[in-house]
Amino acid sequence: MEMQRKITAREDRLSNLPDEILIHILSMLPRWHNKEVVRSSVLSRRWRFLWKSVPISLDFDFPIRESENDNLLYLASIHRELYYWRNCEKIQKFRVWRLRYEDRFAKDIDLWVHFAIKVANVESFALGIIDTNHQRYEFPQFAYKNASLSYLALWYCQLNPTGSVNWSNLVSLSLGSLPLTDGVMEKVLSGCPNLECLELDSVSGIHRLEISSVKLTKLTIRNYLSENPDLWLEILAPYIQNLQLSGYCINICIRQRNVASLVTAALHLIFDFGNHDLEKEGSYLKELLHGIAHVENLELGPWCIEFLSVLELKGWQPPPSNWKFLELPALQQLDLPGLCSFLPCSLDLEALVIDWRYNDEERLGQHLNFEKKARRSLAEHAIEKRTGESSILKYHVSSQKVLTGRLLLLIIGGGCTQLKNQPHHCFSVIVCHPDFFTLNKVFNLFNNRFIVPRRFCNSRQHKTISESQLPPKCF
Amino acid sequence: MAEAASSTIEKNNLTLKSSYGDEFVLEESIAIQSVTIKNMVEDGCSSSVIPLSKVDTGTLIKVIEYMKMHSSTSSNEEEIQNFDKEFVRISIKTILNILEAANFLDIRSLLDLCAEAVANRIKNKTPEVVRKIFNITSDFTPEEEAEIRNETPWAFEGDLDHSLD
Repeated sequence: MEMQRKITAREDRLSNLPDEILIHILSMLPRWHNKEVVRSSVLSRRWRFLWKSVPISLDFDFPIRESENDNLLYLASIHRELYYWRNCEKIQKFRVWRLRYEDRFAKDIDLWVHFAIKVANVESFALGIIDTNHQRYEFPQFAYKNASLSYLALWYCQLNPTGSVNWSNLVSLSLGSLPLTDGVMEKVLSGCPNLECLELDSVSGIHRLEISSVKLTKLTIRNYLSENPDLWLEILAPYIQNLQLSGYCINICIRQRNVASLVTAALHLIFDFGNHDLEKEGSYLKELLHGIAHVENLELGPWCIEFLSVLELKGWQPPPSNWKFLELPALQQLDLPGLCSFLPCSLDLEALVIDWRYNDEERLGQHLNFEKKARRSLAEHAIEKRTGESSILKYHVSSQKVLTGRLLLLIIGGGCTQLKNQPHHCFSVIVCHPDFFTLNKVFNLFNNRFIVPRRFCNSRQHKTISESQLPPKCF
Repeated sequence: MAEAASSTIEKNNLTLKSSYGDEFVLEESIAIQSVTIKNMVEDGCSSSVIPLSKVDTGTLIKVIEYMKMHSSTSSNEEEIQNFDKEFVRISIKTILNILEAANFLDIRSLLDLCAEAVANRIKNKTPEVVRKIFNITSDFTPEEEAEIRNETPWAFEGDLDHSLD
């Protein structure tokens, strides 16, 4: 009997693992299996309190297009869950999404906000409301002070703090579909001394975005809606390093002197001033490009590239820039003039990345052919335009049409089956840079954004590059 | 930087020795996915054989198989995902062996893979079944257990899986 118990005890290898691994295992349970984490408390004394250290995410997505009754049932189920979890010490995230708002739900949402901000002290809180009849949830006054939140996302609420705001640990703030005023924005920003990322999606009502915190370095604006075509949004953010504009954004004013620390800019925006006003649109893009001529890394979306070609055909030359890293979407034949207009004025350009990942495979086949053409015309263009302009630039066309020189050109494919047997095409370095540092920089940039296939990451990145088709002299 | 690149091309080999005394030769670039081994290499202890007294031969073979697959440049994301899926279709005993080895060798992705595989065996099960699967002996009295269940009765409601697979 004694012997048998010993064997049984020895075979319980799971319980013998260190606490942190058992907690890790429990935290691997999918988020809708949270109750399982609690159930582990009954397994044995070893497991009695482990679950309390497992970070819990409470995530609620309202069903899409369900009847009103279903919505009410779902609402009640959220209340029930929050009641269950009220004594749990480690609720890390709480997210309610897709609630179709009506004023009669205001008290319900107040309860959720209270749970997140006052009861559970969550680190991450997201409240995503959908507009149904232009009623808006007013974010409660008690919620403007909190020291545990590090991430906050609010959609379709009304922010109107009567007193000061104090979100002392907030690192990332995302506001969507909100009417704001310059005063509210200023109050919010002055109450977030540790904010690093600010994301504004479809906000309106602000015209002067002044960001004076040294820590706030990343600004994303998606769909800026100006209620009055004569009013612009001026960005005054001397410490911003990363600026992303996407979606429909018109009337945004960026001046170099107001964003002096900017290192990376991404212009994926669409702008359309109506009436096919090419003149106005062209000058808007020109001003934007002028405002970010000092950045090192630039990404341009399809809309910008198309407009650049229009501008190039009209004889416009982009201003001299400091761009070192330029990323573009998959190019159409017509985009080439716009792209090529960049080269002569971007003498610092070290890496040009063309992202072909989001195109379907059929187009990829055409792209491979096109890529060759693009390669050649790019190379010829670069040589033609640059010869004699700078002695640092020495281009050499080898028999494999591989260029070595100052510019690094990457064309990124993706996990496409067509390319399975041609792994080098997935990540072909066509024009390569002799300096390994730049490669690392490019990779770091990519790693941070999780877009490099896993096999190119970490320690293997060097190997991948060195094993690709590059002539050894590149390194 | 250039030196770093060329040294990975040279393919230094390491010898790993299991607790049974079996030796396996492996490229250094593959083996250093293990932070434990990487630290040993950086501290200059890799010239001779690296003894892994806590890892038996069968487990070491599986761990090497995993590291080889995950350092291969010719396989794509999808192939790696399929490999991972097949890799954990093994007995719970073997998974725990590999989990312990991954913890000792400090291979984060393998540890995560095995932890997830264990979590999948717990998913939806009643505590009684979880105890059976993992040989966990309850040391609570029935009264104690009832009391714990009463603290969070909601966690024990609903349809639970009573099967052992």
